[in-house]
Amino acid sequence: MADTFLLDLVTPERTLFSGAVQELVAPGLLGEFGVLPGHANMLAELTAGRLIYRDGSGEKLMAAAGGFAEVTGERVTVLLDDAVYAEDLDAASLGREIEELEAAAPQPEDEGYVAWQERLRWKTACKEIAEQGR
Amino acid sequence: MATLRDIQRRIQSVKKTAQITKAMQMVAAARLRRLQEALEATRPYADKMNQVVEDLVGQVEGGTHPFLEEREGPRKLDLLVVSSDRGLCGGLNTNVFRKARDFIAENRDAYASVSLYLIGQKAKDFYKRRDLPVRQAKTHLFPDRPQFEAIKPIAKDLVESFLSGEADEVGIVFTRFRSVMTQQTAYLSLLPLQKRAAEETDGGEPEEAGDYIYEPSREALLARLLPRYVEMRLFLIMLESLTSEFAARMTAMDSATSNAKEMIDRLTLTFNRARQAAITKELMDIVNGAEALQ
Repeated sequence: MADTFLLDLVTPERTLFSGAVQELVAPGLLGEFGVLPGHANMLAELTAGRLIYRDGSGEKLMAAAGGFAEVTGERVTVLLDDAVYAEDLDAASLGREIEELEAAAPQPEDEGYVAWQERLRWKTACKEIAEQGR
Repeated sequence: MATLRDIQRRIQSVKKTAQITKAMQMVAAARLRRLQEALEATRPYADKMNQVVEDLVGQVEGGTHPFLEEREGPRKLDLLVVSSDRGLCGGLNTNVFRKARDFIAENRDAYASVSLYLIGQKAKDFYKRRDLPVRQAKTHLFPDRPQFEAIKPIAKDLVESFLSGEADEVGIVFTRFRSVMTQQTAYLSLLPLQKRAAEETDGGEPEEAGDYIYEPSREALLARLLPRYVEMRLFLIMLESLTSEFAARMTAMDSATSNAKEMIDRLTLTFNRARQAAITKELMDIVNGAEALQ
């Protein structure tokens, strides 16, 4: 059996990665999961969190917003709302953004509450990964 | 007969126009290049998502999700009309409005009512004086670059109107970007979602649904994925329309520039002729004067 599989990491605004990898760890809604070559077919929803893949040049760490992952045979497609490589994240400015978000917290019954919650979760995940990445 | 000075003034003014149209053409070309890149960057996501949605929808039985529900009888249509915010882009907006009008006229029997959802300043202006119900008008959707976030409220409005029964079908008239030279006005039905994959497997062996692991359940995934899918399709449509706008503007400004150049050539010819005529006339006067003295 092949020791790699094809991974496509795409967001609506760009393709982040497309190529052969040995391993993928993704932030599933029901918990983090790993994919190795030969994984069973799967369709999973993703939440904000860390995403790691390993290709020939080593491990890559990135922050991923929610999305979906489809695993079929030798190919994995990850559809993400947004994603940033850990090295492009800046913990200090993210800290400020989170403070601003928390200061502007809407009421739970407000219309923008869910969007706000999602945004806060995404920024918090980014910050954790930025700190972890160093 | 125009005087020399008049002609010269006109030449100067046409030259200035040519400069402006040339500049606009170059600006449009630069933005077009960036938009084409953005469009190319979005396509993979759109293709992958199409594939995932088709895989998933193909495996669930009909009527599982409200987005897939086809309603009977005379339906109410929400028609999204995608125009540009600025003019000077050839026949792009005219074509969109004509397509919308033709579509409504052709399908008069199929729909009980049609209400419009307008995108772009031009559509807003156009339908201001027309006798059609306008539900919403959004302008300046992408102030600097196309952002996915910007279309979310629109998708939400449309989905809510479909789910609440205010509309039984949601359609879009927009401009499809084929290439820099060709843009095509098109109609596309957004909701209910078409179940292509499901219909194809109807005749043959039904696909084995059991060989997929779903996390969480299939229905929960469908409920999360389909709204995303609608947003993604809307985003792609907006992006295509915007790209078409700049392609059309570039072409229009290019032909405006060459028209202006042609006009300058013609005016220069007229100017030279007039100048020659004036010289000849002066010469004749002198000769006549000299002869009269003899």
